[in-house]
Amino acid sequence: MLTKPEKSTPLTDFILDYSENRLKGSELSSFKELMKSSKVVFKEAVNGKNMRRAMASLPKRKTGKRFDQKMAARFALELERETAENNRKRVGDRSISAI
Amino acid sequence: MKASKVSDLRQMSDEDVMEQLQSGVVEAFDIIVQRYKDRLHNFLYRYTHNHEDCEDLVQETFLRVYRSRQSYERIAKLSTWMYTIALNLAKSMYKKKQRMSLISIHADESDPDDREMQITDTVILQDDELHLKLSVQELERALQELNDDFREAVILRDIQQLTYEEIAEITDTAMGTVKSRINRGRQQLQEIIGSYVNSETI
Repeated sequence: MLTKPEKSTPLTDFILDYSENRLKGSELSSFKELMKSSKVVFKEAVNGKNMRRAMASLPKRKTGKRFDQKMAARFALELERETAENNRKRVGDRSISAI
Repeated sequence: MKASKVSDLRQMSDEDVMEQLQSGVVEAFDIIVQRYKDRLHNFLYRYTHNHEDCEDLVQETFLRVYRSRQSYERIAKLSTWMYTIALNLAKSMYKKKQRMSLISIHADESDPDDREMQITDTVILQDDELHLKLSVQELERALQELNDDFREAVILRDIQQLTYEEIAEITDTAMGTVKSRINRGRQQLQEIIGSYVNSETI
């Protein structure tokens, strides 16, 4: 790695843009020139591009068939809990006003 | 104003649907679940690596969204707000699991529901210096070994495809820090993967 700051530098921005194919025209040509002249920049840019591609190609994991059913059951319990809590509050309010 | 039909809700933006939920339209909850369940599952799976735990976490995220619905303000995108809740849950679960040393890096093969939307057996990376053939398992394992801050930035950017601004908001860090973490995370991943390749060739 070139540097280890917690803030990005203009070079980091270029490496990120290159990794994500967002450099076009003269910016891309200039950056490629820089890559040719610096092995460190070259390595970081290529690594960035490879890892970006690899991560983006990881299989997408989706919820199972019974998810909706399970979610609906938990939400129904949540609504029951909420209603019970509201009722308790109302009863509490009434007893306070009765006093 | 309450929307009368579910079909009306389906046409609305996330933020409008949330507004309906805030005003008591319970049906809006299901619309949010349908829109986000797979996205959140794909995100949280990188932390749990177990289908059942992941589904629990997704459900818990939605329940927290419902419980704290009145604290949501339209200044933030609903997706960003939900990812923040999911990330906080994932972090606390991950820490708990790390303490218990129960992390599994493999998919739950015994569970028929633990399927993939796109099946890719291998990922071939064309490096100008070397050709690496990496399996999905190796990539998942490398991601697991990454420093926490880097992993979260890389997952949100490269797997969830969020913008730098959204990631900065979700992780509560400056945009420059986000960019730096993404870059360093990718470099570290390459190093970890390189070590797998080297250990295999020795």
